[in-house]
Amino acid sequence: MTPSEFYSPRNQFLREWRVLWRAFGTDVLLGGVYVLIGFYSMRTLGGSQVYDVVFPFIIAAGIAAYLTYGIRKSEMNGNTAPFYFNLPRTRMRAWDAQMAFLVTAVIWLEVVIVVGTYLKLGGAGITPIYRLYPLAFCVPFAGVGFALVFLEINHSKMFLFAYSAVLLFCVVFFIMWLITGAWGTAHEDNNYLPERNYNTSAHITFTVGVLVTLGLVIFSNRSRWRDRELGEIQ
Amino acid sequence: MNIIEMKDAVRFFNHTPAVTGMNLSVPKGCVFGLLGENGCGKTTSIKMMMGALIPQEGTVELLGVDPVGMAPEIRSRVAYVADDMALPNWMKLKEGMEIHSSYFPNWDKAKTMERLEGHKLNLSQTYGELSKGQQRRFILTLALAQQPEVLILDEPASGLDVGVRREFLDTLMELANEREVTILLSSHILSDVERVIDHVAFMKNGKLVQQANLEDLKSTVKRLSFSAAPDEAALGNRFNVVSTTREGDAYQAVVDDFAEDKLSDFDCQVEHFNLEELFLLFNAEEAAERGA
Repeated sequence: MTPSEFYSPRNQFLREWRVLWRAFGTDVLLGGVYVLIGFYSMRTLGGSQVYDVVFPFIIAAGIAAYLTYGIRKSEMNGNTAPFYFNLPRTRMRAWDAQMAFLVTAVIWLEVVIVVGTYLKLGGAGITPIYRLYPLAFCVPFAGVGFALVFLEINHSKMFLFAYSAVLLFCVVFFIMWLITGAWGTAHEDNNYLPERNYNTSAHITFTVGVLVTLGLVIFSNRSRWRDRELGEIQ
Repeated sequence: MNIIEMKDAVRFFNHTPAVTGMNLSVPKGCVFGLLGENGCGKTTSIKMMMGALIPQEGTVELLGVDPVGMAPEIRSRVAYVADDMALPNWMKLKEGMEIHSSYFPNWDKAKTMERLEGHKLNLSQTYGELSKGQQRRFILTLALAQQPEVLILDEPASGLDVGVRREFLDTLMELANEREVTILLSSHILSDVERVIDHVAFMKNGKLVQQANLEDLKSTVKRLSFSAAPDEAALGNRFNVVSTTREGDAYQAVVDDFAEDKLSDFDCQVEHFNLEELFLLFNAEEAAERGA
């Protein structure tokens, strides 16, 4: 194998993934257990069971933020063992592997939520949560986005201004989501389905908006990382 | 050919200068000692050589290329060991070695196993179970296993007791003799490094004050002791006098361009310097100013 084959993007990606899995794999697996516990930690006795399903999404967001912070903070500060050991890494591939790892971790948590919802509400209970609160799906991804923004701001206060609009946007959306969705109109009598005046398209628009914002945050984070790796003086 | 080349490298942390105009050339195949007191800028210089810090002014080259964003193919030819380098305490040596080895195409497994056996290190142990000396040996074993062309060691033996330090440096000597590896070693324990280095650079206050072949330096920097003060002008014409001291009739002059044939009619005793004395000489304030 030639050196360029040995250090091909694929091989470098797999090496990074292996290190990430060893360092954070247990946290990701345990995260699934914490999410399941979430199904039983905010009971709304006498109210709709759909509310029970909201809390696991918030726990999943917390876990996603924790993982993002843990993985990216060390990398940004040059404190990871692979960096400190001067291992021949490609740090842009490291960023790609880390994001892929985080997205996979969030998808794993989402799958746990789907299974948990099925167990908790039965087969018919899965649909309402996603129809009533499509934004719920984004909340764990938002955890990743918030942690990335926080780390950028922490690294350079200059980004506080740049990201303040993004932060405001996310906070407003989250509050609107809570008001209009999470504490909304679903109940047993209507089988947790949207009522006639329930604005599903507004929720879907919110969701798309949040996903686009998250995409921009991640894209901006990658650009910042690339600039730094190409020689920005810190 | 120089393996490491720094030209006017400057690095500040906020407004505090860490390295101010560093010029350094490390020739191929030498064991190079970068010496200086704690806080003189050795680690910052090394981090710039490794590409972990970017110089705010000047240039740094390692193996002929800018170490920032260095291609993995080239970086794999450089090994680095620092005193505070560690694996997670829970990690088994076997796993640490597997992860490490996956990054290097020329990983020397047979020799590594031999070295580990020699150091009585068991791969089923966790890193946290090892003593500090064993941890250091394991980290050095990992660095050597990648068969580097350049080995950079930042205070590799600090915090170790004398016996372990000696053993550690012996391993380095073996390596330097086995293969043509360029070794850059930073330390403030001069008695240790004197045995192993052949080139030396002294740093003070973020600057390089002297860089030379150690034997050349020892043969040209001498203290001339006179029982009575000589003709200072004649002495100055003959030698480059670095400093003089006078105690009663006794007169001493330190010169940095000593040659036996220049002595001729001077009646004096020639005293040699060891590394520690050379360090103190070049670390004096006036020497630092001269370097500036």
